[in-house]
Amino acid sequence: MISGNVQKLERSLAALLHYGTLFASLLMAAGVLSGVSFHSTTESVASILMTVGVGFVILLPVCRIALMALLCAVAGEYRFACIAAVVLMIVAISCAVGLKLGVVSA
Amino acid sequence: METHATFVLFFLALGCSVLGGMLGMASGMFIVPALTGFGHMDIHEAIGASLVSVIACSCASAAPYLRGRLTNVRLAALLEIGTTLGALSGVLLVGVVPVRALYLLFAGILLVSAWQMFVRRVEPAAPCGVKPGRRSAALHASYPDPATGREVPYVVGRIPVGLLLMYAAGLISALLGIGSGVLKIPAMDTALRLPIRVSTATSNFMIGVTGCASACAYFLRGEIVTSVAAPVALGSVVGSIAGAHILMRTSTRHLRVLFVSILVLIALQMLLHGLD
Repeated sequence: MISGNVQKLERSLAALLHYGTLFASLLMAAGVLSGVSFHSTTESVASILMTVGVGFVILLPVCRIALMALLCAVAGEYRFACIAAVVLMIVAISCAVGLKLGVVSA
Repeated sequence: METHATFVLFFLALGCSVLGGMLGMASGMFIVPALTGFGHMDIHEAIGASLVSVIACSCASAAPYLRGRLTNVRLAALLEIGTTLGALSGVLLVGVVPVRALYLLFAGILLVSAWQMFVRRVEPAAPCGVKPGRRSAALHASYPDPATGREVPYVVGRIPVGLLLMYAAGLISALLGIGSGVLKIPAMDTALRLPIRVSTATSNFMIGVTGCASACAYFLRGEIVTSVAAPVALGSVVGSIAGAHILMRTSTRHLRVLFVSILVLIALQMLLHGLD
């Protein structure tokens, strides 16, 4: 990959991770603050906000790999695009296996 | 969840993360023992909450490293095959490994971390025998040295060994809910012979994906209690930023012995849980 493409990739990934973490943190903070307001009506809203925020945090690295695969493919770096796609596939298999195995908590 | 419990979780995670940030470590190493020890939580629930906080901290701190051009993105993508395969194995093993074994494994990892902190990291020697034109040449890169402002080129060596160690790191991460920097950084320093700044940045970059491979499975089957994970993740993000600022302003030389003692004490606590 030529230097300009590497820098473009690094800048894009940095922006995704920075703004993604900020957005997820704001969602979780809104959920936590709604949850401590003692109103039963806001409790369900708080729960939804916290679930979406936590889900967004977990999805952020998936989005990062997908963006890497896309940008590498666009730059003609098919080897690294394939590597990123393999990582995405392993994450997907891990999710499927985890779901199939079911709950393990006491 | 009650208001005071939410605040306790937030400040507990904040404290753990400040401590982790001051040591240049992920907070997972402290959050799981804190949640199981002080919060009396089930270890699997604690691991789920810890994984979310580890991912959040990794993503939050990755951006400055990327902008500083310290992260080797291509190498990270390749090594993530090892870490995610390890995490997949961990997901398969998580219901099989007894809880007592998890505590004992955690105690072992904490003791290894304490040892690593005791013997400082040294800049690795450049790898020998890496010839231009080899397949790994696409992974060689350079980083800007903040002291001199010059570009420092480096080569990447012994990738198969690195991949094997990354597999172990992914496995441990999925089983214990930690970032596994304790295995990733030595793998990069010793096996791949990366400069310390590059290995720290690249390891941190990979922690999010490693954690995500197992956290997705935990989340989809409803094992991540979001009312616990959200305040823990928030506290961790705020704490990691504060810890990094403290790290830049203080000398850790005098704190090193104290932190090693804390790690050994937590290891003993986990050991007692495991032998109980």
